[in-house]
Amino acid sequence: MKKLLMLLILLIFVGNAKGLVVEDYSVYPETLFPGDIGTITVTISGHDEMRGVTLFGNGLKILSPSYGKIGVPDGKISLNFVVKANKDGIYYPKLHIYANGTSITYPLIVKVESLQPEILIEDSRIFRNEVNRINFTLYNPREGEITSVVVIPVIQGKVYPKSVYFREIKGNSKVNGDFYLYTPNASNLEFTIKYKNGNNAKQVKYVLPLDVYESRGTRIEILNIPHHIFMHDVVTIEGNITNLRHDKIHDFSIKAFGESIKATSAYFPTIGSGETKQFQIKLSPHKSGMKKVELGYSYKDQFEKEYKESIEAELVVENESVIRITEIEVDENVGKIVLSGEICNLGSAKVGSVTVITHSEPKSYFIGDLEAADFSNFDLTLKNSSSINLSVQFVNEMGELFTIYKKISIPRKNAEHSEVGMYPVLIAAGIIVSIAVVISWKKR
Amino acid sequence: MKFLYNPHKFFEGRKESMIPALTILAIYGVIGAVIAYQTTTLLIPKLPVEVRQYMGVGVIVGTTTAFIMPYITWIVLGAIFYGITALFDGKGSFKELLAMIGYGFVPLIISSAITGYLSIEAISSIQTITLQDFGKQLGYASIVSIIFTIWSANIFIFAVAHAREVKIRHAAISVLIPVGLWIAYTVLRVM
Repeated sequence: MKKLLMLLILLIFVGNAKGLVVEDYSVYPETLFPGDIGTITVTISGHDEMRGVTLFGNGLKILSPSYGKIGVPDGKISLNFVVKANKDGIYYPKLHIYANGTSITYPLIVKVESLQPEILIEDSRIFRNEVNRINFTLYNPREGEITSVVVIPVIQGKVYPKSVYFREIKGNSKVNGDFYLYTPNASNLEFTIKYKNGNNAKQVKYVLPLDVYESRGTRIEILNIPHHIFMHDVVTIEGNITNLRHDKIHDFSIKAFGESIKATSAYFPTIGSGETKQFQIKLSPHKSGMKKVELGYSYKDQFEKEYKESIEAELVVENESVIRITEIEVDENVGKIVLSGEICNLGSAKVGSVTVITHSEPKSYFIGDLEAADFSNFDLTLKNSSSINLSVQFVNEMGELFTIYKKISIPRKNAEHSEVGMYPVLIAAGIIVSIAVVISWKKR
Repeated sequence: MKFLYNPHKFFEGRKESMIPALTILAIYGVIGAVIAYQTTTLLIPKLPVEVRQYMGVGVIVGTTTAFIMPYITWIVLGAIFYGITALFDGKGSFKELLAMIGYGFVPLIISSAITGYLSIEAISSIQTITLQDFGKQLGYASIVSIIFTIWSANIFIFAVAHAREVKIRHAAISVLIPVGLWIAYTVLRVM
């Protein structure tokens, strides 16, 4: 509006000029800060030769010299005057053009003001030990544009990106930006805003208070964990992981650790804020006894900071393999024996490639898969023997190969042996006692 | 060792102290305890998993009972003999009776050692316990036990006759009534 008014004034002057016209002028930057260096460019058109052009500051300091005798070769010429502002206010420097024995005076307008760009954040709530996204609005309250604006957030912790750049912000307008911050304990957020007003470098700092809340972290919930388990069995632990944080986490992994325990792990590439994921871990104990199982989990935030936590559970591992050999029977038949029995899977998971093997006389009986809480029969025809070394080989659900051993004595043979061996003992005892009793009565 | 084959001469005119009887019973108790301990510890691995956790107590109770049982049997038998011989005008004291019948437990020590050995052998040689296996072994053990009990009864008869100053015939009745009932019970149990 003010520029329009100036043009009207100029048009009035144009009407009065004698062959020379001040067509336009501009001030760069449009408004100056106190102490700023600015440039006033005046465009003069006409054909007369000018004897001199001088700018009178009228409160502004004029740093460039006046122009002397100067022609207007192409009917138009632009002249620059460097000025320096003092303090806030509106200044009216005057341009004097000397030509044809007369002088023409043109009044100009230059504004000086101290208004700084302002920064606001939409939400001042942040959470400790989380990656918080901060949205900010940068407002330029000046009439003229500012350029090369750099917003630098500073906080105890981490910030990404380290600065936000804007090429320019028009007068009386705003821009929005965002960045991420992580802080363990800061309560204030400091901003340094660097920018240019024309060629004048400027800087302003703001300190904004933050509402800091504690992070709720993540929550692990174990849905089922068995308390008693057989050796070599595979149990599945199911659970939920909930991200109670306000930021996304990634590379979440959970694994079970324990003495003589083999376990699988669960992995999730990302878990969003408030999101719950269900995981499953399989574990297989190799030794008996009371075992402590540690469920350790870790994840990273967006700043690649790693978090590690763990929970503990107890597991009683029975002193017996998940595979049991039962119902052993031995039938003798003309120098041969038929060894039969049952292979029981006492566990909660399937086992595979179950094979019964005898070693003294290498023979095997392949059973294959054996479902949880199931059994299968086997029989092997062998040469007569007083004992058989039996082993059962199997692969559990985690692909581990185990072998259990059992020495089988031949019960029937032993029983016969006992029967045969008992008769002399019984007869001898009977004779001895009879003799003792008879003698004792005869000698009475 | 005369009491084993000629108890009449051994007990004749004898004033017995308690020490030999207590020593014999102590040996009998120790042997019984050792056998009880061995058999129960051999049994444990062959029992179902859920039963095994209680077997620690079972070993202690079994061993202790096996040690105490000879003393209880001794006193109970003495009381029975004493009571029955009282009907035949028995005169000797209860203490004297106990001291003398203590010798009658020597054949039972031999019996206990043989039956204990049979039990341990039976349990060691089988993979899983079945009722049939046990029944057979129990039968042999019972026969051995009966044979040696007859020997013990023979010694008891003369011990009672001399301790209670009754006729041999009356002493035999006093001993054979309880012992006979016990043998009958054993035979019926095995059958």
